[in-house]
Amino acid sequence: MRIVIVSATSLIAQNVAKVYAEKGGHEFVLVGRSLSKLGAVANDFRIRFPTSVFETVELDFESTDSIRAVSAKVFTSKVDLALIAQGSLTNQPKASADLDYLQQQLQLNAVSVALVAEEFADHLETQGGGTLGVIGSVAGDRGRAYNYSYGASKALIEIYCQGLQQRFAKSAVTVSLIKPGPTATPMTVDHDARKATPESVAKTIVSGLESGRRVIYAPSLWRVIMFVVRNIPYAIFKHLSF
Amino acid sequence: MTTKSFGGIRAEPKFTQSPFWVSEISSSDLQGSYLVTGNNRSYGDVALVSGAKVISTLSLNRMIDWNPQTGVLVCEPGVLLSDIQTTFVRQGWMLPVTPGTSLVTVGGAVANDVHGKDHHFSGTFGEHVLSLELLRSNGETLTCSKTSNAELFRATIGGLGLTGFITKIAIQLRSVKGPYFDAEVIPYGSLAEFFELSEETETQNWQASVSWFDCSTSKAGRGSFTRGNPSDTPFKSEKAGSGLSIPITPPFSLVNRLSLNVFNTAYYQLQKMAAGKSEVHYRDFYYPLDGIANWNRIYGPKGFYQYQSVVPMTHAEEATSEMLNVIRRSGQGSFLAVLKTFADRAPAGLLSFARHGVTLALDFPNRGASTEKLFQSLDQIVAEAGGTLNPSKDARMSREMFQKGFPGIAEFSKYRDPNCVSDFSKRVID
Repeated sequence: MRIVIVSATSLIAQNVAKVYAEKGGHEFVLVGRSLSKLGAVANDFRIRFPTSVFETVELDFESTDSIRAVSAKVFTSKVDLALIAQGSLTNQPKASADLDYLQQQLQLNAVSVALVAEEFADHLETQGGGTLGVIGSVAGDRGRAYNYSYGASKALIEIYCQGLQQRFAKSAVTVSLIKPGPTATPMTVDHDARKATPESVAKTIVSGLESGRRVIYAPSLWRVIMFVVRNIPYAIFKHLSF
Repeated sequence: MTTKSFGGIRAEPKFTQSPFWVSEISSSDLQGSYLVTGNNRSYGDVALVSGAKVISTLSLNRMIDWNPQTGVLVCEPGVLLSDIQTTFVRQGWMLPVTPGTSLVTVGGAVANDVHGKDHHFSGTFGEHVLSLELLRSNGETLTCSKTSNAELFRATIGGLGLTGFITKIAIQLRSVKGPYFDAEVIPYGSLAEFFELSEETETQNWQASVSWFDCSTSKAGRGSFTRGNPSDTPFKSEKAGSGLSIPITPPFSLVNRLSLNVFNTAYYQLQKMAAGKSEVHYRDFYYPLDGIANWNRIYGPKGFYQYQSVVPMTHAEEATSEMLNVIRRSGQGSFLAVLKTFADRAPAGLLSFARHGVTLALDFPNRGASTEKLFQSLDQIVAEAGGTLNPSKDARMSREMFQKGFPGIAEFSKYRDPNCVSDFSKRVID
């Protein structure tokens, strides 16, 4: 398989790459903002997974020219799976206080994801098939006081993916929206049992992508939790703090 | 945020930082008191600090360079030994030295200069470190090896994380034909037999050996001796791990006098049945407890202590049997009593624990004052025999005992990073 991962230095993206690489030899294109960080990740992968091949490509998420050029470059050979993973957890109080920070967060978390998804979608259509996975979040399921800037970005991704799914309903292109719950970093593993490890989240994502699910909750329990959260009447919801 | 050691000792660091990129760490991160930590597998307080900053290396877990011709691996400090073993055993290489768990970081293995079943054959972990990169709070980044900054290199190996931030490590792996060991299990009836077996094992040049022994039942002193050499059988497809886990901490310790007698008797009988030669996977040979996640939880919320001593060969037999008597009289038997000889090798670090003699490792549930009383009696025997205790396991030895057992400490203080501190250093060094 030829697998393109955008924002390959993110923890979930790295773990998804590991799940595929452990299964056998694949060709990976690792795309990201910093060539030096991509290089560190690629070196590690090359040592751990000698049967796979890893290439790195630099992308400026704020530039449509860069997005066009990188898309054209990575799609010169057939892409079986493209994963779009960029995002940064927005600090809500900071976003509320600082419009420039908010703009930069929305640009990265929402706009750049839509631009890359749109460009990749065209290439997937042209090559006649393939899978596009886009990382959203459970935070996009309902606006909440404590993370609505981040949630709104992720909600944009959700509607974008829904549109793409309908657009490709009759073609061989599959679009999956991935919604991870809060994920543990190595440091939080022992302390916060409610958070899933990036390894287990990655496994859920890969099995969801392989079975062509439209929406992948990871861990899958979040499908139930967010169903409840979405359906709490506002009269009650407004009193809650989570 | 409370942090906890493997044995259940607690600390309250000021805050914890978990950097993702070595390239983004600078000396400005090392201002104020700090301690760099790994996977928190030390039993006592060497990896704990209260009231200072903790810098975790768990996200600095990338391999940087690998030479399949020479077997030299360069990696970040947070890489786990289990990752190294599983990655390279398929390519015909393994760690030359490993402790009894693979769930420790390379940085932690260096800082504690860990030893394992192969000490008599290949020494400690530090002997296989070719070079390391050390970031100091004064802004220097130093490459240390036997030939450059050699003194700092010696201080950092086994230096308990007190010489700075190790950001990169080069280690020499050993070439192997496959992941298996030809192991032999020999039951023995007395300590005297243990010493005979140890000597024979060393002269016959077995690569790895360890022994479990019974120190709780009326037949205390009996045990089983395991030794092994790498097998020529090549790599076969791997079986998955057991997935066993102790899911919760029970409200009290499951280790008590009754369960100990049952366990020790049953284990001895099992070992007797297993006696003889067989081929075992390195995971079962080196890391029998790694298959059971969170096994330390069986000791309940109060946790447990591991008491690991080393005494010089000249007094080994009498000191060990005296310790055994004290433990039996106390009624606080140990679940896992491990006995092993250390060979006569020059230590890799200034503060290395492993030295020529016999090491005894015992796990005791924390029963407060009565456990401490037992430890003091054991301390006395160890000290009189000219021995000492392992800092990576210790949570309570006296300042005097440490200073006496680690005479390199005066020299070491010259190479200490003044901002590095741990609850252990506060207790016995500072």
